[in-house]
Amino acid sequence: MTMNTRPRAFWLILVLSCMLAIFLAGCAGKNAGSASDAAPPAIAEDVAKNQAKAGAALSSSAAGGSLASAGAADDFEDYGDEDEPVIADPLQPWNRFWFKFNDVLLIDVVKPVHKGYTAVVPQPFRNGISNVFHNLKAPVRIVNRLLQGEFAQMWVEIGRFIVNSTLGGGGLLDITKKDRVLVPFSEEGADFGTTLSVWGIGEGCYIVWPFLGPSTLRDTVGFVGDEAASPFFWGAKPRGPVNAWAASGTHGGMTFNDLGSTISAYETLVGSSLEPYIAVRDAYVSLRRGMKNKPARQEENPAQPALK
Amino acid sequence: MRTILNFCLVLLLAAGILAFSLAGAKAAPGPRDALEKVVEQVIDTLKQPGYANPATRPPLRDKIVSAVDTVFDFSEFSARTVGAKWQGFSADQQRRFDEAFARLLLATYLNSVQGYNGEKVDYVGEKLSPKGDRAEVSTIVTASSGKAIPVSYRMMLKNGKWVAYDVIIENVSLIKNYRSQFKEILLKGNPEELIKRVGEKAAEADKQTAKRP
Repeated sequence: MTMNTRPRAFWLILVLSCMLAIFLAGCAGKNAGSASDAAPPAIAEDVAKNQAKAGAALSSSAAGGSLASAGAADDFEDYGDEDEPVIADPLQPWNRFWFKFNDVLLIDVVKPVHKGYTAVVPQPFRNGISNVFHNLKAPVRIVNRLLQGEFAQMWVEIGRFIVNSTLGGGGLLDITKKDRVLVPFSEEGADFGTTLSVWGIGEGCYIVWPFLGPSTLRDTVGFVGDEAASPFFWGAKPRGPVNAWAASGTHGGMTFNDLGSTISAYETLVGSSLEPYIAVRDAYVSLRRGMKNKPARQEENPAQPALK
Repeated sequence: MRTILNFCLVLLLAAGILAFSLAGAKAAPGPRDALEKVVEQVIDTLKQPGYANPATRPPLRDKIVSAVDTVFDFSEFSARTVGAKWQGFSADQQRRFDEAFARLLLATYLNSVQGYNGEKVDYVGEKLSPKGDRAEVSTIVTASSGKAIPVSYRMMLKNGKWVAYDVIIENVSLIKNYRSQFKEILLKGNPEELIKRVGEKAAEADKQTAKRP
């Protein structure tokens, strides 16, 4: 049984990944101009601007400003009349349908259940559950940081994983959370979707999955990759498709546990928008684009109150 | 000889102090200070016990509105959200859109700060554009649960005063987000329809603000 199911699961993932990779390649090729992360025509201009800015920032640093690094593509654009590089959305009818479906699911089904859950399970317990699962997924983040070449981030993750797994009681307590680390550290972006983006693979088009919500083709491949590498998947015995369900169940449970802030952010966004579908699409894409090079950007704005 | 040298030294020192204090005076009303003052006022008002009670809230809310008005320039927000089609709006349409959108933004702002629960705001950076007329002030908002959210403000020097024209939360720009929505609406509809829908949404948000416990 075990002997048979393990290769089957492996092949399933491989075939799925390949299919998505092919989709991705096709989609990225079609929309190379509009869907790429950075707007190519602006690159030379950006470099010149950044050089100028480095000088300006030096002189303004006395006023509490921080040094702009040459890599920051921030040109204080005035949002002129140019068309923004938006994401390709050829699957819009499908996406809109599942967006609507997820919306009803989240607000009318999940939210009341989550409300009941928070009433029964107090905050410290929820934090503990969250920490355990978060800690269990550290190996996935470590591998991604390695693949991204972010070695400083990788070592911080490794250190945290070891300390939290031992002194933190198997990750129940995130005792390293408050520790100041030597490098600006962020857990965001330690996923395979971001790794692919670091490797220069375009987003592909926007896609909304039932239950999972907004994604892009690249992030979908990333999600499958992260899940396949997840200890939930390989840690259980017997390994195989049966445990793929267990793994996704665990993942779902973990997501559910932490859903409170997601629901309120979603409600604020949708509540203030005229075209919720577009608003969520833009927010998702901007959020994900911001995760690339996040630690580098944080270096610019270290997470401590600047001197006045 | 020695006195001359001493004199020169004192003069140099005095010039240095003068230059230093001049630089200090120039840097004082920077974008960050302008923003920080208003954010502090808003948080102070939200912390007042009277704010929790819907009956005593309206005067306090008016206080927030007038504080917000000093640093958020909503007309700068609206010109940027429509983009290329803004020129196709008549002067009257631009004015009406300005009004409706300012109402929507204000109501959205009030709705989101209503849930204030001891969040802490840290100022982590201030970047000036090469010309010195644009700035980005970075803050980190930390909730009581420990979750930290980066919030940046894009600001511009307008009539000698720093005003905000965009808020960027977790890399999501408020202006760009609305812009993508308005683009979609203008693709199918005309300016009148957009103004109508913004107005309707603003009325809805206003009602929500009034209703909230």
